[in-house]
Amino acid sequence: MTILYFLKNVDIFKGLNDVQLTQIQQGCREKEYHSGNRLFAEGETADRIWIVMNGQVDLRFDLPGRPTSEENTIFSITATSTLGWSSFVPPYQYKLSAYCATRTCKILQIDKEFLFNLFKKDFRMGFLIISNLAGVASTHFHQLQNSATGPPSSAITITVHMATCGIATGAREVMTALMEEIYSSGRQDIRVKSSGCIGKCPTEPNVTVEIGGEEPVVYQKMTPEKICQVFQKHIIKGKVQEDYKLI
Amino acid sequence: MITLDFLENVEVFKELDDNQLAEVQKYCRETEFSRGDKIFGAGEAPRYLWVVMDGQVALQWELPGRSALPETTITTLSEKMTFGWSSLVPPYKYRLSAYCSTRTCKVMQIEKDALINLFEQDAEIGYKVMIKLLSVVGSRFLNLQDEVAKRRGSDIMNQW
Repeated sequence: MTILYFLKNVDIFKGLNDVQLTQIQQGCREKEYHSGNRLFAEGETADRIWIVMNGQVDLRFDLPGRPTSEENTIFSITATSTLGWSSFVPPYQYKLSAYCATRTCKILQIDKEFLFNLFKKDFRMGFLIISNLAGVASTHFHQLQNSATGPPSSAITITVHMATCGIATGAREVMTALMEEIYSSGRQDIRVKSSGCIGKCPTEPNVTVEIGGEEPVVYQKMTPEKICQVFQKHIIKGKVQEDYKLI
Repeated sequence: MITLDFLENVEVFKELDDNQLAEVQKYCRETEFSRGDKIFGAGEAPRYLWVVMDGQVALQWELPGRSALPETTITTLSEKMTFGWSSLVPPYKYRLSAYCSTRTCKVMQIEKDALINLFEQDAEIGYKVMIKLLSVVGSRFLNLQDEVAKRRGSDIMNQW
């Protein structure tokens, strides 16, 4: 996979043309992390953005004086998602800590100053990237709201499989629709996670629903409309939606 | 009438020059609320970006179907501060509710569709406003994080 092809699918580069992406490519550098490695810590100077190329990164709200723990994960991100919007927001410090949550994860880093120099010459590029970053910050805001309204161990877990294959077929839109449904329902016992591919690419976007000790149900080819139906009928009323089940 | 003198000091318009401010000015309107009035509610689809002109506005974190409690106020805003950032950021739904928290408050409302069109036509204005708006989102995130830390802290205490 060339970096240019990858950059086209990155959340914050939505709307950019090939010339703009080629300019950005010149400021990218790849880094690899191993399970448990910390990418950055809350409070550290934020001077770059981080884009997940593969693997999974957990964003945690580490409590002062306590060791980091998976329980404090606010959300997880996978390929083509970006971290580090705080690099563009005074006082330029990371708001959460980030950890590699898979055996390895590969990350693209781009320095803020490099991007600022591009923005000064191309306001359109700056407008699109900053608008997209605001969208990322908005999602994180919503996820923080959701994480705080649920008890530490939720009875219901919904996992949206968001590897590149899932995102290409609309997993991000499915996630957004799901978050809105949960928010509107006022339910506080539901945990939403994102994770990688489950090896069923032709049926993406796939979503796994786990309720209490019941057998997990995997739904296939989800759309924003279908996930709303699954939410209302399966999560709320307990009736598995057989038509959408992955067999 | 909203003056350029006022607009140039609004946090999200600080980078704009007079010509750019005059473009924004076309879509601004003043309105007034009384203590306790709800300016907008969490979950609603936004029509405006808002700026406090006089008095104070409280941003509250509410769950659907529950009434707001005073302790759910995550921040209080005063003159020249912007709120309703989600009017310009997908999926375009207010994340918090806004209430007038002084005897009266005067606020400026700016049509979000007009602003989005303006940004499309003039990317320089769009860039200069959105980078400041991102800072507004960042500061609300910190306000929310403080509230979450308080709640988590009390959860830990309750588990003892």
